[in-house]
Amino acid sequence: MEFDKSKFIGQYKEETREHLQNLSEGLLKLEKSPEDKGMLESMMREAHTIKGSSTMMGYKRIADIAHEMESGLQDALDGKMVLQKAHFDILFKSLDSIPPLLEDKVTWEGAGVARPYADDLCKEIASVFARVVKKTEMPKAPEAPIKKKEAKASEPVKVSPQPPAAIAEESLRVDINKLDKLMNLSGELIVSKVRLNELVTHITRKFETHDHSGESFRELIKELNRAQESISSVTSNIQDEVMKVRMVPVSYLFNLFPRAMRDLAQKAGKDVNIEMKGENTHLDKTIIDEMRDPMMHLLRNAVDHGIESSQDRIRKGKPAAGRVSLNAYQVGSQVVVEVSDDGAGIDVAKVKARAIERKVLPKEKIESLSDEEVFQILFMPGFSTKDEVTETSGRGVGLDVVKESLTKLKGTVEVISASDSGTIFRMKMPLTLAITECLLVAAGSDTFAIPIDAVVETIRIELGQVKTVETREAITVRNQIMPLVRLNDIFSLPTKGIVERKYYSVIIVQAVEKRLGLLVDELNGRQDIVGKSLSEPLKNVKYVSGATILGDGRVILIIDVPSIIDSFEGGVVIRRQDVSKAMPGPIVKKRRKTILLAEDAISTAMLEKNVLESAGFSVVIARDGQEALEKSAQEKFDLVITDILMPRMDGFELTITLRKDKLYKNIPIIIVTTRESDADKRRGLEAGADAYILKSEFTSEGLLNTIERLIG
Amino acid sequence: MHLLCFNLADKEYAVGIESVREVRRIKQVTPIPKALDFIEGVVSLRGRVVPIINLRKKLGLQSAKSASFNRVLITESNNHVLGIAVDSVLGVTAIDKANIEPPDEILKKCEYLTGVGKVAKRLILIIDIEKLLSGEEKSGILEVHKMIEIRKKA
Repeated sequence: MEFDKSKFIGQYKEETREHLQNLSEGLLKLEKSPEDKGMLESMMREAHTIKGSSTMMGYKRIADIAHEMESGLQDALDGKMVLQKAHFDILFKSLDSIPPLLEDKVTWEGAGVARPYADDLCKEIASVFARVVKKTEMPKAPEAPIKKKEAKASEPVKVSPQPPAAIAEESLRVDINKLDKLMNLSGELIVSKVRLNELVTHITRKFETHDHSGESFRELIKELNRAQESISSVTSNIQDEVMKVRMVPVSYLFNLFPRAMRDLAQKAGKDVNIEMKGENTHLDKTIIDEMRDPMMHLLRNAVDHGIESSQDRIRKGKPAAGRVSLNAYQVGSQVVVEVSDDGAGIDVAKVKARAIERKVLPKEKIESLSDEEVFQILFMPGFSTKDEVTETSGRGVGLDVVKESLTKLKGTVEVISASDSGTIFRMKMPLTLAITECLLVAAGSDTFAIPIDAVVETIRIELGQVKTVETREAITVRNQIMPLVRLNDIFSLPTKGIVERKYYSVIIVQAVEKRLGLLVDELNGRQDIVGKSLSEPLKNVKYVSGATILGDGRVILIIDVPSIIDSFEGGVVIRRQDVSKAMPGPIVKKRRKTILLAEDAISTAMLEKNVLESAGFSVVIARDGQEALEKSAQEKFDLVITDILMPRMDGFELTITLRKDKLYKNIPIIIVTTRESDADKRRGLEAGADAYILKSEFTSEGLLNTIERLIG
Repeated sequence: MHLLCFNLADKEYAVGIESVREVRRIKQVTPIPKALDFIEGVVSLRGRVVPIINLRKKLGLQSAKSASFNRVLITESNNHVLGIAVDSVLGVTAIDKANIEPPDEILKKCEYLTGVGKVAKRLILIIDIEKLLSGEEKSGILEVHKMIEIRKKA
């Protein structure tokens, strides 16, 4: 399972230069305040990262130098010395030595001038920091056999001085900021498209009603319609494609590791096989980039701490060769990446002992921790169970970095470990940071977006169900009392004109283990949105995590659910057994059913929408068959109601087309129309409609009864 | 140098033209309920979400209804885009650096003032956008106007 290293060398170089830049800036600051622990630690991490990726990419010399730098900085961090000018001199000298090595064509164990120089430099660093270069850490110089082995290992992935030109042409590295700009612009294009569509429709209609103009004008209108249609489709395609550009298969990430694993295993004297699954899962490029360091830490961990030596494994009755697996798969809008090994598992007692030694918590407290809690200790800064310092890991630069990286990605990491059967690190992260699926809600005259991850369910309540508990409002959902907060109150918004309503929509939201009900005026359906962070002076606005721009150009705010739950303390702590035991309450409706309403007469559409919404349905309006078709692709509706006579695509055609769609084959379709003839009725039912309602006989009861019959 | 001059509560102010990207009429401002009071809201500008501040409120001038501003300066400094709502835009004025009075004790009351520009009979208060957001006190600008009036008479 070799991988083509040359694909990643450009990236590695760029990233190493970035780390070098950080080091050089940081060291300058450190020189002014040499006892700044935080800075020391972050410098050590930088060196550590360079070491890691250089090891992986086969830049041995750089890895060696970085290792010595890291060791020196570690000693300083441990308080063994305060860094003096001599230390900084050698650290800077080391920094300067790396760029030439980076550009050196004879990187991989090639006997260039670089080698003795790097070796000397390492010794020099060590001597300045008054350390002895350990034989175990620097095995290559005297031991010929190992050197040979390494040289051999490199053969299949030869880095030719000039990589084949074809590679450079096939892909292009693009600054992610440029991509973001492109995405902003394509979003704006969509907004303009919507406006254009409206205008064209308007003009067309005007023209149809006052049809006194000549043939040439008629032609022009037709042409305008065609042009607008083609712009529409191109615009949608552009946005899709721009979105896709950001998504890359996980294999880009996974392919980095087999090589590194081989080296790591060899170094540790262990026999390890690597397995990969789900490489075709796609993830946002930004996330892939951010995942590289944490993944590498986890792999090192697996080799160093997890997999036992072959003798131990045989004694335990396991295959002599250890197994490390990388697995990726998608769950809803999240991607899970697992790094697992079949090694010894995490030694809870050892972690506890180490935690006590490190005094991370009071001793009694540590002893009473559950296994899961003990695993969490592993993610604390500066914690490591491996005593020896090896080149590959140890020193506790590791799991805390993993956690930090994932938090940054709005992801989580959990550990599952069983003694002697292995350890799984399961990382969950969003598919992309660019798009979030949100529930749009209205409160007062404003619209807000609530990230769907935070939404548990939406229910419909009558005001009579709201109880007052200690001056606060609460509702009971399946025998659980839950605080109820009105979105209008949170944002001090005026309530909407309609004072008395029978039903209200409540969104049950959740953060960590707490839930509360959020009362809103209206639910406006789901939508994928491109979240944008707010800049100064709006960075820390309460209850708002960002904003997004809707199709019509409106900016709406994204609600920060955790902060709302935090402020309206007393959120219900979920008790799992309660949830499973409880029966759904009689009045609580589980999920609002969604209805797609295709109707070109706005007044009729609004009327029907009102009837449906007051009965608790969520309604999306489409102005014609074509739009309905587009909307039906974005979201799966529970029911479709359509008019017959509509521009662009009529109700018959819509019905026929929907029936051909796998998703809508069995979704009820109701035709609501003025066409009374039996022929039309028959045509409608033949097209696949489930019901045919005449506008002349339209009553809200009639419509609701029909719906009840079809999807009730 | 060139200044973009604008009107605010019947007084003339200006910002350096280099920090102004464009001047727009703004519709559809989305209010931010829990934000500071001088923040008018956010708007969409070519796919970007841009905060709009109400300069009258920020400077503590007589409170203006949001309807009273009709132009927004879209400024950019350090890659940070900010919209500043003003009463009206007067235009671009060239000014000799020698005619800009540097901050003295009076102006120091308002950190965000970089000087007073004199063009013919006009007195223009020049604002540093970057410092605008960090400045705390509100009453300062009124005192500045008073002092300038007194000086003019003297």
